[in-house]
Amino acid sequence: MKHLAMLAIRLFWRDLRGGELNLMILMLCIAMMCHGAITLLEYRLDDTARQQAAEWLAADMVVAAHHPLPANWQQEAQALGLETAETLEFSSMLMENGQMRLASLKGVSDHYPLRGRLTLTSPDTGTPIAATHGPVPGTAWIDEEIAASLQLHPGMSLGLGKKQLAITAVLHHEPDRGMHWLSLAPRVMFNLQDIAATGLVRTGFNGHYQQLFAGPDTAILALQTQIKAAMDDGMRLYNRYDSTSQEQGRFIFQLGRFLTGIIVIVSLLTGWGLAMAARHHARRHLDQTALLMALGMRPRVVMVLDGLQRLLLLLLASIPGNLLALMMEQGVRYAAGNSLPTMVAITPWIILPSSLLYATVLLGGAVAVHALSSHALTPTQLMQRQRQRRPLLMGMAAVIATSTLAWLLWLRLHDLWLAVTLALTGLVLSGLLWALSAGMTRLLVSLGGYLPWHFRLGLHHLHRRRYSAGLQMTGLIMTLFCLSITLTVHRDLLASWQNQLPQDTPNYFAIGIQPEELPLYRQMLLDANIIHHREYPVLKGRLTTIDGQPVSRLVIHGAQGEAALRRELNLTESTELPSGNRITQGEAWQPDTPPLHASVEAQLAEQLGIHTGSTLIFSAGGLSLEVRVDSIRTLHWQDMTPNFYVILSPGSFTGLPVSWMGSFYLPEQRAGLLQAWTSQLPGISWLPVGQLIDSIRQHMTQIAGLLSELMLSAALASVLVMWIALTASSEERRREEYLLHVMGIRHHVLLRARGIEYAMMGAIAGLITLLLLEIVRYALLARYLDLTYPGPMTTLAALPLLGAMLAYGISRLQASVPSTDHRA
Amino acid sequence: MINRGESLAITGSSGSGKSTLLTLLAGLDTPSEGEIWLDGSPLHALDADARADLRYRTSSFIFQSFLLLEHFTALENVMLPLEMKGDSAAGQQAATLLTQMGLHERLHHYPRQLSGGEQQRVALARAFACRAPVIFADEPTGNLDQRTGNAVMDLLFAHQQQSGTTLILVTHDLSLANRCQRMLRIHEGKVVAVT
Repeated sequence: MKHLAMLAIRLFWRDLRGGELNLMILMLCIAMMCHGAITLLEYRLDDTARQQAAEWLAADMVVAAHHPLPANWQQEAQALGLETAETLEFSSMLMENGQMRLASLKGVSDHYPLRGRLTLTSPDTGTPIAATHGPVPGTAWIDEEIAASLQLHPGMSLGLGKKQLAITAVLHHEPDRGMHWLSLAPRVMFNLQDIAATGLVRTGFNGHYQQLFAGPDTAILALQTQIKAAMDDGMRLYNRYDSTSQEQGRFIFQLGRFLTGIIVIVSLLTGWGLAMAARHHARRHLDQTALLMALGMRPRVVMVLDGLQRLLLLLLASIPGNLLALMMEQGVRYAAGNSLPTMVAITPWIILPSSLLYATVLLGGAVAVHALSSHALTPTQLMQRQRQRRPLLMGMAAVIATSTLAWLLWLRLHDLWLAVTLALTGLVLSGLLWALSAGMTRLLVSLGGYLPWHFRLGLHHLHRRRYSAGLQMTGLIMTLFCLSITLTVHRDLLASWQNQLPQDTPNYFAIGIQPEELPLYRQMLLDANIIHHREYPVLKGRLTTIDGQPVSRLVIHGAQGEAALRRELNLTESTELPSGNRITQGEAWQPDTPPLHASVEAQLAEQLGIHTGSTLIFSAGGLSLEVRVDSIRTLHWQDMTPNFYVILSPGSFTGLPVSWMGSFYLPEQRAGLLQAWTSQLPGISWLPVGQLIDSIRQHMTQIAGLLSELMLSAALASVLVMWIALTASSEERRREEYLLHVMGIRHHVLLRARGIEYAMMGAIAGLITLLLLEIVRYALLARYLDLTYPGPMTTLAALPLLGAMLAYGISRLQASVPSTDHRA
Repeated sequence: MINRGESLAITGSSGSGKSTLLTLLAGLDTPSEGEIWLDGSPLHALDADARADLRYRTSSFIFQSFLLLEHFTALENVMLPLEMKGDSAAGQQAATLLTQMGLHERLHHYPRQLSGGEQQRVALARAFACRAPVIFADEPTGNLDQRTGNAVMDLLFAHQQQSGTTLILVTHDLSLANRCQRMLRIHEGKVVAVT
């Protein structure tokens, strides 16, 4: 074995020195670069999503209950090396300066928050400034709404039960407020040490107790196990691993899918390019295989020797490949700008195992056909360039290509059946493309009889090599297709996101508008010329029964469903559905639809087992509302406009105590209006959501930058594969051209014929790509990425011309017709 | 039956089956019928691995097209069989062989930088490096002019006599065939004369 390893090293070095491996190394580097960079981005994205989830919780893990939690959990956590904090949240009526206001009070311990940051409004500039910890004992922070409605400001004091607290700051943002952001009352935050002195915690006190934990994953998981074993039914546990918000989830989901899509595309391209390069290499090395066997090396040993050389190739290519991946990922992040504060640092070498596995599968698939076919032949057959029977070879190639592709897809999608189905579909499609290419070539040749001589010569060459040309054209189609689909979907994706969040997206929600306040609310916005959206009546209701079954007996699968049963839902009634809502089951309401019919959001419906025809009973406003589900609908929470899990038909709220909810866009420079409105309508809660929108827009900017850079890598891979596809037969072609040149055909005629042959291949490939593209684009956008299909792109009609020009350009760049030396 | 140390020429017109017979005798191909025994082993009945083992032990082959690996230097081409055996002095031995062939100034040249005669001498050196008891040579001078061909054959016969190697060569050059101890003439796949 040692001799064999040494021999492999020597043979590999000689191959390398002779430039025999250049194409394969290039393709492997491109493959590893693209895969590594995208994988690294995915890791970062995953960690970023977790970090965001942690900020959403203000901790890595939170345990919550409506009764005090065991104190020993904090001690156990500290013993495990975790940071800990506690909060207690409750509602209370505040009265100052002759004004009354219901407030949400939050007592926090010294280390709160463990993740994310508190920000205060600077008294000088009005801009947000970061705070390192919560209020110290004896002090309180109030939000702007409390300040406006109770006429308070820093420097004054606030009575909280029996305790007077000094107001030291105006609270701007708290990280975990988003957990309950639609049910927020204005906030007062104080130090938890003061809670006893307030005297508010007494018999019948209804507070929301939370213990917060943060630290290493292993310690968190260990504590989670301990706590879960001791939890009672009234306790809830949230952690950053499975806590996601709808607002942040969709972009990450789409980006993740797009990244996976790019990897699949790059895998297809580089896998095909690598297979062509391996074929080229194997054909040039038939003599070496034959010689080794003639010298007495067993076929299986020759295979092992080849395997060792491929391993060395892999190791060699992995160095520049992974370095390039790191550089590309850095470049992509740099290009995305400085707007990546939440992208967490991770060890870049984390990609190495997956990168090596990926490249091994890719290379293994690429070289397997030739390895298996050549080593089953005798040395004489190899020297005489005999091959396995074509059907056998094609069968082997099909099985190996499908298995390789399925494996690669499985590594990405973690769904074996889906991966196998996609790979088989790809195989069938490749076969169809090959047949279509060969058929179009034949048609073109039959029509080319009246064309000038060099045209006919080019077509003749194409026809004579129609099988291998079909293979080359399939590669060209894949290249053009991948390039076009990536670019168009990239454009569609960005356009769709931009449309979702236009500049005038509401940045404030007005909650709790009483019916008699509605005209004044509308007039105020109208007077100030503020862009506002329609208002919705809101009724809080608790879902009690589904199809005659009390919800307490239901088994719920999903966080949304659980949350929906734990709290009161905001119900609305409306003739029309909010924009962006799409009915997926059932029908829209007609003008004569009677009251008490419902439309339910699809994900909630799925988790609660609700379908069209289901009967739901809500407890609302002291009454029972029995409604029949008419439709199920999807919606985009990220649109940042009011959306509802359950919408009832018009007239359902007649006689019930409803309030109204509105939304509007208030430019930052006009934020002062809010204070005036608050004093005019003190009962309304003005909920700022601009920070959330900014965060989403920031995501969009990041993603746009990331995708643009990734496009570059896909384009680079595409052009290289196209080059390889067209140069794969260059050696054979050069020999033929030399012979024709010797027989008297002029140099420029041969060059022109070659150009025409290439251009024809490019044009046919472009035409077939065009036919395929719109079908797949529709499927990708509408089905895979959950976006709206914007219609056919007319600019794609230029694809045949583009294919012809690119292929022709490559033919001009290739070496000229040899005139003296045809041995190389 | 060909005895150890003998030299045999297989002659015949083009397409008569000379080269096919030679590759069958060397175990580079498999017969559809009949028997071939090499060094006491039934070559016709062996599988691919066993045939390879037998070739490794007993034979080396000189090809009409030289079959030099184009990205290997002359020295590396000759070193290959020695490296397969794990010979630590492969380079030194290959250099000695090439020097004996008059190629001491061409050690680090690639095949494309060598003339046809030089390439065939490299191929000869590679065959000698195997130190095999049987050398099969397929038209070893077929691509060379007469003078160069004679020089190459001088080297081949000298080696055969010095080392007591069995030499089986295919040629349609009667003068070359006459230098062998025995001659076998075939026509349309059949042996028509043995002298």
